[in-house]
Amino acid sequence: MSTGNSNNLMHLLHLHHSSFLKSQVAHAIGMEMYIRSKQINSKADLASFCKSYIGDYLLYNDAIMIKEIFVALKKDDWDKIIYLSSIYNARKTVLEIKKSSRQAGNRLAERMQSIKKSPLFEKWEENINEKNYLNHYLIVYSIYAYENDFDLYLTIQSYLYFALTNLVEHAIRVIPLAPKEGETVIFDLLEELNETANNATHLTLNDMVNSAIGLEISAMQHKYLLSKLFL
Amino acid sequence: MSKLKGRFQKVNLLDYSGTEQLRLEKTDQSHRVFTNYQVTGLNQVKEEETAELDFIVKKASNITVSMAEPIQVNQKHKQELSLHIEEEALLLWNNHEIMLQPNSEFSRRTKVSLEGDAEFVWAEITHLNQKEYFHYASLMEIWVEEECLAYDPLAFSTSNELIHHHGLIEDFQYTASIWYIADKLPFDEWDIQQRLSQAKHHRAGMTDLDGKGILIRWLSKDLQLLQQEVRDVLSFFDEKITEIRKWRV
Repeated sequence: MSTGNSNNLMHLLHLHHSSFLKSQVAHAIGMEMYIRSKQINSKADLASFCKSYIGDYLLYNDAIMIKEIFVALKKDDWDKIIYLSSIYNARKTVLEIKKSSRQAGNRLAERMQSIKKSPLFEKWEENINEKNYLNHYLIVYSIYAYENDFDLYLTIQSYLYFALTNLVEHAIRVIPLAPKEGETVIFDLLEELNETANNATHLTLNDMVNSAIGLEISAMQHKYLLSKLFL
Repeated sequence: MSKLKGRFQKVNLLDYSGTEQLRLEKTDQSHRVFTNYQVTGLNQVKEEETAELDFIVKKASNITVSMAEPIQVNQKHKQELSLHIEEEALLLWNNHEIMLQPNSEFSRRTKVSLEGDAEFVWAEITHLNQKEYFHYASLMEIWVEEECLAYDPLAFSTSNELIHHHGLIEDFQYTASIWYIADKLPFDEWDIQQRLSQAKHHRAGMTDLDGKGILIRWLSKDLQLLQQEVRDVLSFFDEKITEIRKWRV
């Protein structure tokens, strides 16, 4: 457990720094369609979107996956890790989001490997062999967090926090909203975010669900926009 | 458990077996390339039982499977589907509808496995009853050889307090999905796009599945429009598939 170690905490938080290409930005493309069609047009609308994004979409997909990868890494079960990565890859149906998540994963892996060699990354690369399409941001992030002894709860919590703040930062520029309103949306959701992170530690792959059809359709439609605000 | 097993080879049905009320019948409907079958008895499966369907489509066979009637979920309905498609074969799981009545639960697990250049088409419309309790869960797993191409654990329930929020199913009453898995799709994405409307209270989107297929998804409040669009897309697929496969049978 490393939650009390602030140096280690800084290390984890820096993984979300904007110098890394973040996959969470990808879902801004789904949100863009809602903003353009004026369905998200106020602070309340934004809060509603973020609430379902954190409390449903991320909880029942990404958060579960981080937890399951931690469990498999603890058992050194690489077959399971490859299986989980295949499921995560197959679960991302929208191609643009899938590509962006892979691109972010490759960038994070390359950058971290060039800074400090990681035996677990090397093992991962050896195991995926030529299946580079499995190199999603979330998988690389989870492996790195586990190797550096970050706490599971904190790993999920920081992932959710940066996903939320990224979405809100994008949204307030486009709706537009005052920065204060964006901050209120974030502060109001923090308690729920902590609960979501806590819930995720008790869920398994069998609990993975897809209820976010609206978000999925919006992300699909984004490809056909003539001009795009979020890429 | 109610079971239905079938092995399809060209125009013949081999190793067929059905228990309880479940039956598989060849229909009179003639088609240039497809042999058409119909599943009956799904609505008669007892609520405590699971309807287990296990189909194998043999090499180079072109098969359409339709449901005799929409699935009416009055209380509980559970299905386990295993669909295996050998190389050069095509299975079209024809447009079917699931109607969730108040206080009903539907759960289904579908595992589709394709060999080599096998193709698979699936179309489904779900009627969501959002006024009273319902629970819908459907896991679709599509494997092409050893690769998992799609893992789609759809789940909608009134017990999910976020269900009406932006991004989920909001206040739509109908949802639909079409999957078309093929090594080489016989059309361009714009052919599909032009068949999807963006009418009021109706949303549709399409995505490519890593170059190995497409998924089309709808949310709608207009059942007629939704049914029409699903039919249009399927009829377009039929035309393209026939063009290619008519010389192969």
